[in-house]
Amino acid sequence: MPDTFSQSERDADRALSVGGETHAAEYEESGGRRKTSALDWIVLPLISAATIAIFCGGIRLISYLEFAHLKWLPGRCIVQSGSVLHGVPNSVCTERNYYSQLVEYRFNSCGDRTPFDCRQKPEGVYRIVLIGSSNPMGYEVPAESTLSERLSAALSRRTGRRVEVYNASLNGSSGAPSNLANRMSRTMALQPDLILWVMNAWDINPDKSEDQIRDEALQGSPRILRALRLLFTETRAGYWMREILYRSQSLYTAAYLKRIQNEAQTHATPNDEEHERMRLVSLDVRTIVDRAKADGVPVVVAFLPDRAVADAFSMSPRPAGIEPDRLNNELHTVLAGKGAIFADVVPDLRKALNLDGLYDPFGAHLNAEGHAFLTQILENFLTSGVVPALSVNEQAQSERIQQ
Amino acid sequence: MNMDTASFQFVLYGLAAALLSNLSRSRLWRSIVLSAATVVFLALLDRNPLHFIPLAGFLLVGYGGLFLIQRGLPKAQVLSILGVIVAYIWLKKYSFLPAASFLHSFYFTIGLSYIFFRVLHLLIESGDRGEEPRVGIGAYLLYTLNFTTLVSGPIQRYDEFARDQFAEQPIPLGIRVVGLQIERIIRGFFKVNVLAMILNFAREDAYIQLTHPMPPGLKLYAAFRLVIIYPIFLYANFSGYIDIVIALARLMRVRLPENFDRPFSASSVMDFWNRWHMTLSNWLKNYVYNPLLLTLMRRFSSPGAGPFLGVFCFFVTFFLIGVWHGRTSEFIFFGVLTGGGMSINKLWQIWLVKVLGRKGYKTLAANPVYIAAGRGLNFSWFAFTLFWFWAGWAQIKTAAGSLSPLQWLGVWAAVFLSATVVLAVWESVRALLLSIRTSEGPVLTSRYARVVYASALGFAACVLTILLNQPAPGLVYKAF
Repeated sequence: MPDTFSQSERDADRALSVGGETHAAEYEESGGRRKTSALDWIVLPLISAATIAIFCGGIRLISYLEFAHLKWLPGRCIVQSGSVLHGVPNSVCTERNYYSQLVEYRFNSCGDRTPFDCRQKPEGVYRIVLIGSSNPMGYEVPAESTLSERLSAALSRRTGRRVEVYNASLNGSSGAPSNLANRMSRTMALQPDLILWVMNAWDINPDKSEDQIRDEALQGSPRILRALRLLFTETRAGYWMREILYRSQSLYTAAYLKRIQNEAQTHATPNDEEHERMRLVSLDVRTIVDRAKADGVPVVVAFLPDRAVADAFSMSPRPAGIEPDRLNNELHTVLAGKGAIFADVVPDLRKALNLDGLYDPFGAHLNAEGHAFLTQILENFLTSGVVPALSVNEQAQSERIQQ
Repeated sequence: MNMDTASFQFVLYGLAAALLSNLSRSRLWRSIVLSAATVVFLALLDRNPLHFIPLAGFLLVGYGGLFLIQRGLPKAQVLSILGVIVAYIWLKKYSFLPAASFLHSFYFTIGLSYIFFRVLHLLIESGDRGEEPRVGIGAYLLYTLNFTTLVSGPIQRYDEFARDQFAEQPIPLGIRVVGLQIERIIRGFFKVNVLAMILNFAREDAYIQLTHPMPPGLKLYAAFRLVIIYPIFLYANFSGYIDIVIALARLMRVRLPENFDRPFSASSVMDFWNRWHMTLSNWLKNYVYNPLLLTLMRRFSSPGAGPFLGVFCFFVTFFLIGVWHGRTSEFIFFGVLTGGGMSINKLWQIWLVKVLGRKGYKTLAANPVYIAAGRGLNFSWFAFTLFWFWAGWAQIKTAAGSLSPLQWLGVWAAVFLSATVVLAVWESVRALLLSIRTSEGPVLTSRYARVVYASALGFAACVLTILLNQPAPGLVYKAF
């Protein structure tokens, strides 16, 4: 390689000389020197095919090894009944999703993922019944790291009294406001002192999944294109590659925006459909709050944004199509008018160290760190005086500080 | 249609044009195909013919000047050059001109900078063309608007363009050459649509992590990534597109000049600009640096002043490179840094020769450790100057304030050391691999090896394009 220091001392002009002028000719010549034989017409395509086959095989092998122990929850510990899912009483299952570790799910005699007894609340215990869908259920998170278990321990420590956070949440559409409203009798039968409802964006706007959108987009496409899409997205290899790519916050957000763009929806301005959904949500909230109030049980609601919306807090300029505060603000208005206590977790979420790192790569669920952070926020909120029974016990607090 | 980037559509369009062009070897046919392909290309970029009026006016000013120069009208050259420069500055809306003087309706400016360089080149050279045939309006438009070089260059000389485009016997295009061009298109497509895209997302992640709450260790790592990613992204984005257009033009039997020559192998700032955006450097060498140096040397004839005049001319030339990139104060500062880097490099060289003598300096310059450190330093300097290339003052201030001065010092030290080591290892591995030879040459550049990596890159590009499901990323150099 020529060194310009030594060249350029001849004269200053030399330093600006373009050393690569003959590059194209050399490049061409390097290929041109070699003769193409008749055999090459067979060998070269074979080499190309072999290279692609090795690549395909390599990716498939890695993803197979990576996902060698996939296990699925539905059908074993969770069964569908009508439009909602139910936990199977006294069942224990393990699941390993594409993007989680092997997680054990243990359901009690009422089919809830909690160690607490559903039939009899122990004497002196302050019971919070946690309702909602996958995030409060602790989907993809080991039991000891879930919001319910962490919050039980944190509140008991902080308030100096025994607090149980009974996890009555279940993933899927079971956590939709309408289903929660329908299940209020069951919830009240758990003898709550307080109902804590952690709402996901998906519960309110159950937008289509990536898979559904892709299926619709591929309707009528040539079979080969559909096969290719499926090969690269729906296979283990597809999940493996997407899991790696989606670790990038910006890339994930771009993919998310593309998805909501495909759905012709935006998170910046509500459309008529969303207005209607919010109207229905407010009716369900009224049902839930009224039913709880009838038994003197307060309802605390927290809204948890999904990963893309949370990511948008830290992106500048903010991605067009996402208005991260909109849904939170709308819910705040709806809930305040219905007598629920709104726990606004968004301001504290914004302060999180590495907010993006609190979600799984596919963005729908909090990971263990996310559950820990949400626990901290809700612990502070619930003990701040909004729920008198959970006000901080000064003595317990000082003992805790001393410890 | 997304035609102003290295999209799949653009590649297909170029290949279709090349196929048509090769239906006949006649130069008339090839010129008709190139003209038609260029007109359709422009129409695909902007459907409204009214948007092209200012560009047409600019081209007309250029051709008017050329016409008068070719007819030997005195002072036509100076006046037309000045006219073209003023028209360019006005159309590009440089902020030192009153805003009220600008056209306020939208008009087409894609590729204007590259057209500007070609027009100026013609105006400057046309006085010296001697017995060579005059440049007609058809050839002028074909040269200035050629769709393969319109959006981001490279800046080709007219004589080189005419030599291939208007040759009675077009340059040969055998199966081996076609294979090489296909391989190059795949490589370029991968660089722009996969590598550059992923690097751009990674840079955005790094900026977010640097400027938002994050554990200190992660912040330092984010700063490190922010620094090192952008130069590599810019290289992949620009050189990938250039790979594609050079290959497409070659398939149309026109050889475009190379624009890159492994720039990160450069062991100094001066060496770097011999390898990065080479056609621009060459243009400025011919039309700014050389004339300026000659003028100054005539004015200050003292032998001792020569090297320092060179330093000054370096500064001016590379300051202009910075200013060419944009109209804001950030780009002026980028120009100051680029020109400053060149000047300091030259002064360092002069000082070393003075201290060590020519022989001592040559020995030092050939020392592998010195070369490796030079590469690391050059990469770090380029990465530093690029902050003013991609970020505004507010972003730079936010990024700078995210770490303490001592932490930044640590980050830059880590960048320098990493670049030094990684580039040295890269060069060694490359040299080692190229040393594995058969009687036909290095195995690495054999047609078998080329088929392997073209297939691998092509396959990876397909898979990742489907997975990423994003539009082809914009070309950074399209904006200039």
